[in-house]
Amino acid sequence: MTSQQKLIDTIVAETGLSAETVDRLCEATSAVITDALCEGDSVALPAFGTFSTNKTDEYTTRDNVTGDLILMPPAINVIFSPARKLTKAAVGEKGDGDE
Amino acid sequence: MNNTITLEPLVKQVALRASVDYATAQLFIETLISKLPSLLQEAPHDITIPTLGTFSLLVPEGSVTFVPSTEMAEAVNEPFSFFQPTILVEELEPPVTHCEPESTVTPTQEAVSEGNIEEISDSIQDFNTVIETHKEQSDCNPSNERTDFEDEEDDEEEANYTDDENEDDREDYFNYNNEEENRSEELSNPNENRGLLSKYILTYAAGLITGVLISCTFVYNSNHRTDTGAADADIMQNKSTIFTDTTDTVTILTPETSTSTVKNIETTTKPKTEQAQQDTVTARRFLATMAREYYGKMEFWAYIYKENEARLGHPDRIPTGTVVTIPPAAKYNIDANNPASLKRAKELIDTIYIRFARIKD
Repeated sequence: MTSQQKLIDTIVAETGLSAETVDRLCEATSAVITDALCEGDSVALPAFGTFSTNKTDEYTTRDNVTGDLILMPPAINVIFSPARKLTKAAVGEKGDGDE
Repeated sequence: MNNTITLEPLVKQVALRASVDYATAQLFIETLISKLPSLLQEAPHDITIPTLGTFSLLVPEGSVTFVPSTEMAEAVNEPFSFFQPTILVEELEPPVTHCEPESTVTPTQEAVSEGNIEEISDSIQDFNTVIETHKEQSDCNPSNERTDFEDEEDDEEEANYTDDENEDDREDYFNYNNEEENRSEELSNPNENRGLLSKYILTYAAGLITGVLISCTFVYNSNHRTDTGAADADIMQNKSTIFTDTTDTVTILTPETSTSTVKNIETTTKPKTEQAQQDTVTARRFLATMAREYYGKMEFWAYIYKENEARLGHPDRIPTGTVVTIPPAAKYNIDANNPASLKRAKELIDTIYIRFARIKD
């Protein structure tokens, strides 16, 4: 069982929603977060974490195989900062619930 | 822009997009948030949410990471999606315009600072040997016989040597003598300083001649560039006429007209380039102007630059009067009606400008 299917099955079992609805909600959540990040906004979910973007400027690097000097273009990357509660819950510790 | 979306607005938008009620969307998101940590604890410690990304638990570090899905990464990076990594030609990197200043400490000064007396003695002996050799050569050479006029000049030069301009050099010179008291009398002898004075005289004369030559060149150019100066003034006043000027000089290199100059040729009547031609960059005539006339599109100036790149520097700073070779259109498959040809020209333009781009290390 893939991790994706495992997640959907868990949510279906927990909420009683149909698998189709959960699938649609997953896609809607992703679309909303993506749209917000494309606008330059960040999405902060309590006790979970914050999605944001970070722009990196162009830079030069060297190909370790060929030795060529390569100019890397600028890029906007997605950053996720996990909340302390999520990290503690994931590693099995008790969270303090501040976030 | 730069706003933070919290849980409640997110739930509202998810409900709208998924066509479910607010409570259902809220239940889904809260369940997702609450169940994700427990799912991450199970091997292989990663959870993939479709079209969002993959959450992973790094067990040794005890931290949660997120890798966005391809769809999300591409959507967020859309403003820069048309850029591609480019391999730079290292020989064409911009030259280093500054460098670390070299040490001004001479070996003798270094030895003095370290208190190495033996090295100082060796250096002084070498210096004396050079002076004696020079003196012997001067005595043996009959062409060095001095006239009264030359002696007077030397006296004047020696008097000038005491001027303020050379005061620093003189201070260094006497400081050196004070450090070497045993040799001070030999070094302060005017006859042995004659070689040093000759060097100053030669340097002064060379500077004077260079200045005269530069002045002559400037006067000559200013007399022959009055027309160009007027053109510069015009172009500064009205830049919109840059590409509409039709009265520039064109020289076509054919056996019959290799040395003739054709003036006042209309832009539209210039022949398409079947063979290599030459043209001159002026204040109103750039590579783009030539490219539009010869090839039909300004973007093809890159091929003119490529043909002459061995003699040209930055494409935007080509001095007026530079004669460039116009390659035949067939050589680079130049076709203004072919989008692929136009695209290749634009790529070449990018390549040219990348060479002169500032590179961050």
